[in-house]
Amino acid sequence: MKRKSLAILLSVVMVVAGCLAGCGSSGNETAPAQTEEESKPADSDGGTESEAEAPAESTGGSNLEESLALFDEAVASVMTTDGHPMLAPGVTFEVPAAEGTAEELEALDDSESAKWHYYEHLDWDESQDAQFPASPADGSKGKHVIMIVHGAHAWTTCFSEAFEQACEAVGMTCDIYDPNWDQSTQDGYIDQAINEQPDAIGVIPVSADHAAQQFKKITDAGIPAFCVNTTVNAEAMNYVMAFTGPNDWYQMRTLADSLGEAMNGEGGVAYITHNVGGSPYYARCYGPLTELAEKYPNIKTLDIQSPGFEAAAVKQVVADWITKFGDDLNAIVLADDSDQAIGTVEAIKAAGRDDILVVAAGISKQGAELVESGDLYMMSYQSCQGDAGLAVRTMAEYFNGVDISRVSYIGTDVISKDNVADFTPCQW
Amino acid sequence: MERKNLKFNGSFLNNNRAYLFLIIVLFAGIFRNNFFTAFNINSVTGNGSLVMWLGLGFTICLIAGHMDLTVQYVSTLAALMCLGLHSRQGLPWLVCILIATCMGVLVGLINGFLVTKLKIHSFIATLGMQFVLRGVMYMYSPEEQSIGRDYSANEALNGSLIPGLPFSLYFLITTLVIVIVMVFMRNTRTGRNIYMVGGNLETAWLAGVKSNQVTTIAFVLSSASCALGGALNGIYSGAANISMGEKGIAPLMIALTATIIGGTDIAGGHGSVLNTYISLVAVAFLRALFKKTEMQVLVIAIILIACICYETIAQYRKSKVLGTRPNLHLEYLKEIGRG
Repeated sequence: MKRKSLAILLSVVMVVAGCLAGCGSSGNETAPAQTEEESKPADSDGGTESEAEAPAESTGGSNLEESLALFDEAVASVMTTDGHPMLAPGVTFEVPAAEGTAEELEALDDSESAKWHYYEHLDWDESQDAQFPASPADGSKGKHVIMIVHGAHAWTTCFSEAFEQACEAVGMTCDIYDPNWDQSTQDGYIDQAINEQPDAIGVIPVSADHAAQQFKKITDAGIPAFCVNTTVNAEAMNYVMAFTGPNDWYQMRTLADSLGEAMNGEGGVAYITHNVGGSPYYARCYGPLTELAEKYPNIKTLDIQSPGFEAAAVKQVVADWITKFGDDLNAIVLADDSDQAIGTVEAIKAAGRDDILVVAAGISKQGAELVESGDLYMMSYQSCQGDAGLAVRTMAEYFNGVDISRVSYIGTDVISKDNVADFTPCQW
Repeated sequence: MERKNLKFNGSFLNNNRAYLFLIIVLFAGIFRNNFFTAFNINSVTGNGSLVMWLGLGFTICLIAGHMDLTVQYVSTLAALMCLGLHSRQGLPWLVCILIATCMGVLVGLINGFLVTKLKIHSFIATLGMQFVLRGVMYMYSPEEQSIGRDYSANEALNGSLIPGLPFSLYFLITTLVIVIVMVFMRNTRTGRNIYMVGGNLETAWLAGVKSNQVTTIAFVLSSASCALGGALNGIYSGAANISMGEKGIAPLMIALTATIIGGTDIAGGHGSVLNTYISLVAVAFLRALFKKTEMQVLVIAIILIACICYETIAQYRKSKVLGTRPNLHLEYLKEIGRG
C-alpha cells in the first residue's frame, strides 16, 4: 500500500512539474500574438490607403508614429543610475586600411599598432554578407526580442535590468536567457530563441570563435541578429545585422594618452592583463602599450603579467615589480578596476611608493572609490547600462525603419578625481 | 502459455517511470506555443544527444556496479581531438572519429586496470582520471580555448536523413547505437555477465564469470561510447572547448540523474540503457520547456530527489521483508505479477 502511495506521490510530483513547465512557459508566448491583436484596431483607425494595402500600411503608420514618439521620449527621459542618457546614440569609427594580411601583420612587433588591426577593428568583407531581413518599418511598439547573455555576473545583472527597462521604454517586450557561460547551453538557447520566432535576437557570445555559427543560424532563420558587447571575428560579422558595444581599444588608448601626458612622456610602465586570449586581454594591454609606444617613445614597457583577478596574487606581482624595477617603475596599467586595483594599491602603499601612477579599465564601485581617494589616478568609463541601452536603441531604430550602422560603440570618457562625481553612483 | 497479468499499480508506474516522465513532459508541451514544431524537435533532440551518450556510458558502468566519472571529460577530449586532427593535421573526418574513439577505448582500459588490478574504488580511480584528462586537454589546446570553426560536416549531422523526419542525423546515430548496446546487454553472454557482476560479484565468480574482464569491458564500452558521442558532438556543433559543460548544468550530472530516473540500481546489477535514454529524451524536452536555467535545475533536482526517496524507501521495505521472512518477498512478487 505504501509502495503504491509512494509511486502515486512520484507521479504527482512529475505531473505538477510538467504542468508548471507548461504554464510557466506559455505566458511569454503571447507577446507576439498580442502584437498582432494590438495592431488590428490600428488598421481601422488608419486607412486612407487603398483597400488592398490598407491593413499593413495603416497599421505600420499608426504604430510607427506611436513608436517614434515613444522612442524620442525614451531617449530624453531614460537615464542610467549615474545620470547619463541610457539610450544615447552610438559612436562610429572609421576603419583604417589594414597594412597587410592577417599573417603578415602577425609577424610585426607587439608594440606596433598595425599588428593588432584585426583585433582592434571589426573589419570584414561586406561582399560576403548574408541576406539580412528587411526592416518591417512598422514601429518598435509591440515587438518582442530575445536577448541571450553570456553568463551570471554582477555586470550581467545590471545589463539585463537596463535592457528590460530600455525595452519597456520603447514599447518592446523581451525575454533574457542566461546560459551561465556554457557554450553548448548558449547553442541550445539560440535554437530555442529561433523556435520562439521573436522579432529580433540579441546575443553576447560566450565564445567569439564560435559566434559565426550562432549568428548564421539566426540569420538563416530570417530573424535579425544583433551582436552585443563582445566583438566577433570577420566571418561572424557577415551574419550580424549590427554590433553594439564598447570600443575597448579606443577607451584604453584615450586613457593611455592621459597617462603619457601625466608622465611627461618618460618613465616605465608595467601591465596587468585580463584573462589571456579574450578580446579584453588584447585591448586593455596592447591598446595602451601601442599608443604609448607611438606617441611617447621614451616611455618603456617594463613587464606584462597575467595574475588573474585575485587581489592577493596581483599584490604579489606588483610587490615583485617594485623590488625588481625600483624607481624605473612609474606607472601600472590594469585591466580591471576592482580586485586588481585593490591588490595594486595595497602593494604600492606597503612599499610607500606614492609616486606610481595607476590607471585601469572601469567602472566599478571599488574603482570609483579608489579614484575618489586618489589611489587610482584615472580610469576609463564603460557604461554597462549604456551598453544595454545602445542595443535596444539599435533594435528599435531597425523596427522603426531607420538606417542603422553595422557597428556602433557606446561613448566613453576618462574618469579622474576631478570628475568622478559625474559618474557615481556606479552602475554595478 | 501463461499470460503475464499487466497490473496498473504502483509497481507498474515505478518500473515505467522514465516513460511516464516523458509522457508528462510532452503533455506539458501542448500548453506551449511552437513546442511540437519540426525545428524544435530537431534542435532539442540534437542538442540533447551528447548527454545521451554520457548516460549510456554511465549506465553500463553502474549496471556493472561501478561509477565512471570520466564520461564528460572523455567526450570533451574526443571532441577537441576530432576537430583538432581535422583542422590541424587535415585528416578526414572518419579517421578523426576513429582516433578519438580509440582514445576512449584506451581511457576505458586504464580505468578498468585501476579498478580491477589495483583494486582502487571506481569513484576514486575515475575521479583521478578526470584530472589526467583535463591536463591532457590543456596540453592539447594550451592557448586557444576553442577548436573548430569547421562546418563542412556540420550540416550533414544537423540535417535529417529522411526529408520530413524531424530528427537530425546525429540523434538518429545516437538512437541506433543505444539500441545496439541495449541488444548487446540483453542478448549476449558478455552483456548478461555485466549484470551478474554488478548484481553479485560472488555469485558471478561461482558461475565462472571472469569478473575483472567483464568489468574492464564495461569501462571500455562506457569510455568508447562517450568518445564516439563527443567526437560526433564536436562535428555537430562545429566547435569544442575545454570548459564544455563545466558551467551551466553539468552534462555528467544530467547523465547521472537520468540513469537514476531510468531505474538503474545505484548498487549495480539492475538497469536499462533504454530507460536511461528515454529519461534523457524527457530531460532534453524538459529543458526546452523552461527558459530559465535555474528553473531547469530546480525541476530536474526535484524529480531526482523524488526518485531517490522512492528507491531508498522501497529498498528499506524490501530488506525488512527479506529479513523477517525470506520467502515472503518472492510470494509478494508472484502476487503482483513479477514473480
